[in-house]
Amino acid sequence: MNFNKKNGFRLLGLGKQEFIKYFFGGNASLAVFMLILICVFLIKEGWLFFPGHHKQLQTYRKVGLEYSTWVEEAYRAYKLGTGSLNRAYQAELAYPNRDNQAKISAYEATRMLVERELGDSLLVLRDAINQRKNESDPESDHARKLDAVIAKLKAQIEGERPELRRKMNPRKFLGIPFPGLSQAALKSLDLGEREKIINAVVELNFWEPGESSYYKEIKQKYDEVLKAASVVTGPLFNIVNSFEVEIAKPLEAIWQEASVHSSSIRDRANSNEMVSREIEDQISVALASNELSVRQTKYGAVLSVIVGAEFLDEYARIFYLFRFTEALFALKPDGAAYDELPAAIREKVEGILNGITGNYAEFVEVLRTGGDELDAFPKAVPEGSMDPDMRRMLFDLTRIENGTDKMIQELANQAVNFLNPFPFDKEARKLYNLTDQFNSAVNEIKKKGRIAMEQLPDPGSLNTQVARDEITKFRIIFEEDVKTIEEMGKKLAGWKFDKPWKWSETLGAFFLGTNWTTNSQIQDRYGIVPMLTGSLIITLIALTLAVPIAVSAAVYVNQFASFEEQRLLKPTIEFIGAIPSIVLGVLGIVVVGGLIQSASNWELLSWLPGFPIEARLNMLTAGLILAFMAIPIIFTLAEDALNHVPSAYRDCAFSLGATRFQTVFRVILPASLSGVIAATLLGFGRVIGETMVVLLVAGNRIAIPDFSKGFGVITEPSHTMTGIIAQGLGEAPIDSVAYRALFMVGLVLLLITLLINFVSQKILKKYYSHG
Amino acid sequence: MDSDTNSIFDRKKNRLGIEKAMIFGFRISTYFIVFVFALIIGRIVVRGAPVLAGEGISFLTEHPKTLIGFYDEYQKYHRLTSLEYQDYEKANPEAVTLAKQSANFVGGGIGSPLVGTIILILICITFSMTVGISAAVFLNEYSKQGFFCQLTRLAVTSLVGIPSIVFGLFGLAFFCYFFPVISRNTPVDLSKAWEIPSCWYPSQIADEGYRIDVADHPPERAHQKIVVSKGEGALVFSVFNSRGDFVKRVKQAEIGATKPTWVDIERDLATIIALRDADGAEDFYQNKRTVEEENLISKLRPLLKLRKQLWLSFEGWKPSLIAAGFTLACMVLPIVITTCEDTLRAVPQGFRDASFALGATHWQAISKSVLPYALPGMLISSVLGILRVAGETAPIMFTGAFASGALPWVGLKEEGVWKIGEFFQRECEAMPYHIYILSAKTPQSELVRPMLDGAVLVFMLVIMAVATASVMLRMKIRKRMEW
Repeated sequence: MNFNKKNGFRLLGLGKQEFIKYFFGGNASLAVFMLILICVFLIKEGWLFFPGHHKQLQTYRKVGLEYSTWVEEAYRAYKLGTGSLNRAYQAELAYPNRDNQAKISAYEATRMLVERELGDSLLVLRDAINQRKNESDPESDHARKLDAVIAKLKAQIEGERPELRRKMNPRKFLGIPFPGLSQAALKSLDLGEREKIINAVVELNFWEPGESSYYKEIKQKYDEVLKAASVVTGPLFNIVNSFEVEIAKPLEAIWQEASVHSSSIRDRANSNEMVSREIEDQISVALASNELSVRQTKYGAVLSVIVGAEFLDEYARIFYLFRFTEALFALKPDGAAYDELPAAIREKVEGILNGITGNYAEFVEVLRTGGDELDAFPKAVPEGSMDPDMRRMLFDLTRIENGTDKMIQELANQAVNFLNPFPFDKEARKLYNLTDQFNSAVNEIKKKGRIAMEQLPDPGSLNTQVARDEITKFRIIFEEDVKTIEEMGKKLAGWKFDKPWKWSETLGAFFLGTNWTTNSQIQDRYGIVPMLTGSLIITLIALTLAVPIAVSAAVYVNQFASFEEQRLLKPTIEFIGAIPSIVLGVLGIVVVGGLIQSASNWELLSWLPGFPIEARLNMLTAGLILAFMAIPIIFTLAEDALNHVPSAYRDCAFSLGATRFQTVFRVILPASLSGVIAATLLGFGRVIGETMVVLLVAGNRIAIPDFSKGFGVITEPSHTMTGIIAQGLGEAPIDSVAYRALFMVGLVLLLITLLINFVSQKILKKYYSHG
Repeated sequence: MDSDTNSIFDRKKNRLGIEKAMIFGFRISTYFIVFVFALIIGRIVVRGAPVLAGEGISFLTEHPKTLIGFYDEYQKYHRLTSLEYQDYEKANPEAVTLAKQSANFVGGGIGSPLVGTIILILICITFSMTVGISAAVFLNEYSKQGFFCQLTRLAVTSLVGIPSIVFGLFGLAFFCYFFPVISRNTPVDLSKAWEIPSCWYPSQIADEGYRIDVADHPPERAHQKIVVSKGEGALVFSVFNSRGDFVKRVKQAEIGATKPTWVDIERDLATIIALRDADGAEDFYQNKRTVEEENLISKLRPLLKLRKQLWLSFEGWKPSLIAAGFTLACMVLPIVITTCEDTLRAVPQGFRDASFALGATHWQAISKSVLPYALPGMLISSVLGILRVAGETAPIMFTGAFASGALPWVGLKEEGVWKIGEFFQRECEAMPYHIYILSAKTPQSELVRPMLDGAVLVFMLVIMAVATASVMLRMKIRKRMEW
């Protein structure tokens, strides 16, 4: 080998060696650079969210949407209490009728089961019957074919009856988990009754729901008993009615009025703003056209091509004038600039201002003759003396040269309407008036509520447990509701449409906000809390399941497994990490969701919190799949940590007479604990950042899960931070507030994962430096 | 501590039984993981294999199509692509179609998603390997243990933990809407764009179209802009306001243009000084010019020749193949760096020392005694790492994946060198995104199911093959590299 040190290569003063070194170094620094870029770009796109949202919120206050939200909040709080009362009433009402109710629901459930059993043939039959109904010519070839199909399918289904009846065997039927039918309802029917229902469903024309005479019979009985029961539960009904109708109605009316009013203000103000933006756009066209028309004579044909007839249309000129008057208005309050205007020009400007508000004819005159004199304007108002946009606009507009009297007069007329600022104060007055109504409604609630409370039946006298619980609950809730409503009343009284929106409130709206609504008819909200709780709960479920399994697997593989087992198990479990998340998400949506839901109907598992599950896609399902995804990560890292425990520890423990198990649990695991913690943390980072599984499986409902269920909360559907980004980004227009809000969520996610990563690296470093 | 009984290691008789039971529990939880894994693989294979067997090779070569499913009068289920359905309707006008359903992209095969994924992976490999291997060489061979080295390692470990969706956001903000591009077309937002001086590139590159140049614009006019373009066989005048928003478009008489080439006037029309000629545009204006104008043109023509139409704009690549590929590359970069570093570390120090002892320079030592031994390992392990990340959906969802049934190179409009640019700026379909699209439809439906099952199986087969190869090769290399 010839190592020739002398070579003449030099670039930018660097020799070949240094050049190569810096090339490699530059690539290495790209990693650092990229991390910085990621942060910078998320912040760059995200931080403008706050000013944008701030402005939005300010507008919401200005138009009174904030006001209507408070009224709504009061109304919702009130409904929460009456809802509980209503449930008590319904339970009491249904009490004498519970047998019939169980029969009806058993009937419906059986029908659904039969439908599921028959599958597509029933679907085809229904479609055929439908098409036959719509057939205009009953003698046509198509119609005859349809008839044949219907006859054939009916015969086929008839033929399947014995098979169906066999499948619907009441004894067997009991074991079939079915989401539509509660086990309690099914249990309340005796075997004979169940057989009757099954016969009714199978025998009769079940493809037309409700045709069965048996169903009609129980339905009729049901209605009769219900009517009879309402006589018995009359007093309760009166109370419910007085709460629901007499008190809720005025509150609801106030809410409706406030929200309709404020939405209409918003729409009008928006359209005003939109038009003024349009004006600005059109002004550009108009200015270009005016400019072009001035020079048209000079440049002749070329310009005539460019100008185009459309540029000079009346429409453009209309907006030209609007902008003109607007600029003048803007000029007038600006004292300094206004005073600096040469007297002659100022006279004209004043004339124009007066002309707009009063005498149109004069305005027209000034516009027509003022052109030359106003040309002095740019010199009179030097740059920097006023808003540059306005100054430029004004300069442009002093050049106006043509226009007809009638048109300008009309325009000036419209301009006045436009140029008056939107009367937010006038509109807000209506809302101020509503506050009095609200307060009187609150007094009514308090007065009537107290009376009704006294009339409430004693819980002991009620038939059902539900009613007893709800009545007791209502007594507590009602006091809280009144407090909430009064609080809202105080807020409403202090509401001012022009109170500036505080920055802390904007920050709070994002970081503490409990609502995320985009493209809303009322108002857009960006509160991260529901997503954050969803993400955290799912992650916790996943880790609670994954950590014990993964760590015990790591302990087993590392400490107890034979060499062959180790060689087989380790790559297999690591291999799980290679399964793409989208595949697991698909399995979740297709298989796991339904499986868990039907399993939750088993009586055996009914003691579990949250069972039976209402929604097929929920946090528990997502947590299960994510647990499976987190296992390989936690396993690999924990196994690694166990490997790093010096063998002297083990030998020492053995020599002291410890068993293998004791050695593992008292010596090796504690020694590798920080490694296991780091593994758990990294698993946390991986799970909270997972997108596709939660997007497909978590249910995507934007609401804070109902924690009143206790542990059952895990069976609720939820949205996640990653999910909302993946779902919302496709719909949010670039650079809109919604788009930036998603970047803010991404930023929060990035910070969480960076923090977790940092902490776990610290732990690992400390641990390995000891080991 | 009590000296009689060792409180840590107490050995009671019944303890041994408990211990055995607990170890058994550990074994169970280990095999439980394997069992679940086997269940998943089993289900994917059982559902997907019939589809693959039924459709055969056409499942891999055909592109996704719209599918229509219905029952005929004999209760036979038909699954026809929309073209086939049209033929069917034509053939039997009186046909009875019952329970008809249709869904997009569920028929045909997975040809275009496969091709899209391959292109994405190629882009990703090209970028991430170049940077990743160089970075690993620097970290392992050049840098001393110091601040920079530690900072880089910290950055690499932090990058590994960042969620894929955040990479997606970054790719969207950076590659799709910020990255500088050189284009021949006039950027939409001129405030983010600069014209590249024509002396910097050969004239053939951008010598197309014609333009009306503007000079001597007063600052007062700087807020308006009219862009003249030749599109759809006519002259088009587009007006933009000060913010760069499009306001209005005016189409002029047909002038027989062949290609829609955008030509522009920037800023203002204060003084129009010339028309540059191309495609007969000059003829179009010739007989209408004034004498004054002709003089201006002849005076300014030499100056105008310097001005051509390449733009450097910061408007990004838009969602495209290259943006998605680079986003994926950013994601795999830390993985590539760490695996390459591991491989380099495995080369014995003695190799380097021997080179230095013979008087080799640093680079000679690396290129002759380190890289030849490390390069195969680095290439293989990082390619496999990249292929595994290629299964991610979230980073490409917004940066370039697009539900379509066509290959990305079909129907390119540009010519010459620009064809390549246009190709890379196309969106494409990719396997994981295709599966996502299918699963977001009703995955239980008979119509969607076969395609979904087949696609998942093919995807899993590829991933499994890659992962197995990865494990085996790692073992092989380790064995060979044992010095």
